[in-house]
Amino acid sequence: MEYILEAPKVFDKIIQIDKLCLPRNRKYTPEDIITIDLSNVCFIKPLGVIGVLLLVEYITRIEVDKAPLVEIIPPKDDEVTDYLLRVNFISALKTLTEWNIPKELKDSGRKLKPVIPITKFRNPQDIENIAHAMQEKFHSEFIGLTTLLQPCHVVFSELAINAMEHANSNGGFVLAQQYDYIQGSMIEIAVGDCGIGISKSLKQKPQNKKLITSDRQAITLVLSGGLSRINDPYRGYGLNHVKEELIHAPDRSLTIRSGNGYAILGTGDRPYSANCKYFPGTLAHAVIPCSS
Amino acid sequence: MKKHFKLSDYAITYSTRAKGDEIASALSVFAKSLSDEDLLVIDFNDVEAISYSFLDQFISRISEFNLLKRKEISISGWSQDVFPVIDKSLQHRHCEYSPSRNELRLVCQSN
Repeated sequence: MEYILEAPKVFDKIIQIDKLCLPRNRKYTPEDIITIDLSNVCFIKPLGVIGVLLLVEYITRIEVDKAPLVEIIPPKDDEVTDYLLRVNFISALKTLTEWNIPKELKDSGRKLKPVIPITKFRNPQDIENIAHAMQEKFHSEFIGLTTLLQPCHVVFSELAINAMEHANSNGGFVLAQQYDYIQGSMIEIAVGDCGIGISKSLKQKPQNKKLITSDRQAITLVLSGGLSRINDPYRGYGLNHVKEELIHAPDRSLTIRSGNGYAILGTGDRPYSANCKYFPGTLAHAVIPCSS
Repeated sequence: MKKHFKLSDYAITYSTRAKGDEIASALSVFAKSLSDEDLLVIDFNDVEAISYSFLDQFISRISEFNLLKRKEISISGWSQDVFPVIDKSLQHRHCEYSPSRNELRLVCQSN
């Protein structure tokens, strides 16, 4: 059977990850083909890029003798292809499985200066190394934005630590970039993992089970702080710190999607949350205007 | 006499709880080399970015090592950018401190 997952033309919202959702509880066979069709994408944000990688990671984790064939149709739009090459999308795909990469996609020779190109982290030292590389970037290529290093550091660190420590994943991916939108220049940070998700993680602590009624509620609860799978009253504040870092400055935002739910947090707002299709793991996307 | 434990000797950005453990252990070794009369100063000079998780783990561990029971222990050299993380993390762990313009003097841990 062939499953075609067609990415949206403008891929810039967390809800659009629905387009990448596979049927749940389906048993795959090697005869199945999963096609991730990026051909019509003419604009994609870091959350879409990391979302595609999480989907591929999810598929490649299926037992070898049952694993379906996975195929990615590249974007027709040269600028999107160029962008994906520049943020190391191909290299990131290669960390997950082997691919037959068309020759014309192999050697870009192009230069982009993302804050952090797509990078896989597998252990705490990887996180430290990425954070250090980000600090060097702020001093070499984003000199006018050095006051944003600390908020970007908190956002990346806390999201990556959660992926490492609480998701039962083997790490995750990060992509951070600066982009000039019509409304102004923004730094965007996307961090994703293919783990058990926030709700399941919290429910590892028995006392939390009765508190959590849905995935979206689990996300809003962790944003409030004080809820953790770990039996320690001081733990469970990582995402709350990310929220606090973002809500006190204009136009910053945080979006988190995990399991069947997502939440969007804007400046000073209480989070908007809703249900969505199931997508493996957790994907977070933070936006920090360069003028803030 | 003031004896400075310079965090920037190890790194200028700190992210993870694992790093918090590592640096707290290094601080513990450093503290053992001091006399009772020495003032231990945790020096944040040149540290450019820290996470809450790193600092929470660091404070938690130095508390376990009983370092906060030293007569004199101070924090100094922070930048304006990292100060909110230090301030909130100390409050979060109920560390009492007397702030001055350039130095935080830890008094004791209340619990």
